[in-house]
Amino acid sequence: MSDPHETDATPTGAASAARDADLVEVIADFLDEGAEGLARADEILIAVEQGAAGDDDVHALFRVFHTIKGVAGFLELGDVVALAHATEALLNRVREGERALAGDTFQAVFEATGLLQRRLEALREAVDARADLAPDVELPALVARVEALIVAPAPAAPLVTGLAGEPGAAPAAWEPEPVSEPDAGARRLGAGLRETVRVDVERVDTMVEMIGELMIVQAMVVHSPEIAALG
Amino acid sequence: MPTILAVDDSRAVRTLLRREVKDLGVEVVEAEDGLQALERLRTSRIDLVLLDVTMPRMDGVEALRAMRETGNKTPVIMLTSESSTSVVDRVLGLGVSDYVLKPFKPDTLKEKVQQVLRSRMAG
Repeated sequence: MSDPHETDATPTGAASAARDADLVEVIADFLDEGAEGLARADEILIAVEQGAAGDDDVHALFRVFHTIKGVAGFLELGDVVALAHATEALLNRVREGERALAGDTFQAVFEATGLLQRRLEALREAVDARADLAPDVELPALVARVEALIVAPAPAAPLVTGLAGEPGAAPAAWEPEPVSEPDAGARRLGAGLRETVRVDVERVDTMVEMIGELMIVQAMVVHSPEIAALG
Repeated sequence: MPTILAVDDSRAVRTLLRREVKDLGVEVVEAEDGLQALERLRTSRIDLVLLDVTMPRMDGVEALRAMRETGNKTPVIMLTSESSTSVVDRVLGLGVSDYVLKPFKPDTLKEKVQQVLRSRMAG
C-alpha cells in the first residue's frame, strides 16, 4: 500500500522542487492563486482609499494573506511566510477594531501586497529557469515595519500618527517589553519598541509549531469530558 | 475504498492534501468552502472530512456546526494555522476527531487520517 519511493525524504525549497510533479502542481496553484488574491487585495485597498470598503472586504483581505502564508509554509518560502504572517496579524488587529486601515497601517498593507506580487513573480521566474530564488533585499525591513505596527500600542504610538479614523486604544492583552535604551535599529523603526535577536528561521518555525501543538493539546485536555468530570 | 472530503479555499492546499493521502488507498473529493462541503456531504458518502477553518462564504467552524446540527456524524479533522485555543474553543462539543496545524509536516496528516479511518472501519 505505501509507496517505497516517498519523495518527501529529500525536502527541497520551492524553487528547486521541479522533480516532484505534485509539488510543481502545488507551486503552479500557489502562483496563480497568489496572483489572483493579491490582485483582489489591490482592488480592496483602492476601495478602502475611496471609503467604499466594508467589513467583508477586510475579511477578504485578511484571507488573501492567510492563504499565501499557509501555502508558502508548505513550500518552505520562509520570507514570504514572514511577510504574509505579519501582514495577516496586522489585518487581524484591523478586523478586531484595534486598528483602522489607514495611515501607516494602510501603507504597510499596500506595500506588502506589492512586495508579495513581486516575490511571487520572482518565484515564477526562478521555477521556470530552474534557478534558486534570490532573497529580496527590501523584504526584511518591511516585515520589521509591519511587526512594529502590530505591537505598537495605539494611544502612544508614534508609528500610527495621522490616523484620523484610528479607534481608541483597546488595551492590548499583553504589554510589549520595555526597552531600556533604544538603539539605532529601534530608532529606525520610529520608536524604542523592542530589541531584536537573530534566530535561525527553522528554529523559529519549529518553536512556533511546538507552541501551537502545545496550546491545542492543552485546550483538548482542559476541555476533555474526562477531565471535566474530575472537576 | 474510503472517501475523504478535502475542504480548503486554496487549490494549492487541496492539492497538497490529495498528495499527502494518495498512498493510503483512499478517494479524495474536494470542496472550496463550507457550503460546498455541506453539499458534498448531502450527496456523497464521505468517511472523513479534512476541514480548513478560514474560508469565505462559510468557514470551517460554521460548516462543522451545521453538520452536527443536521445529525451528520462524519469524523472531522480540523486544519488550522491558528495556533491558538480559539479554534478548539469554538468547536468544543462538536465532535472533532483531531486537529492538524498547517503547514503540516509530511506524514503528520497521513498518520492522523489513518488513525481516524482505522477506528471508523473498526467501529
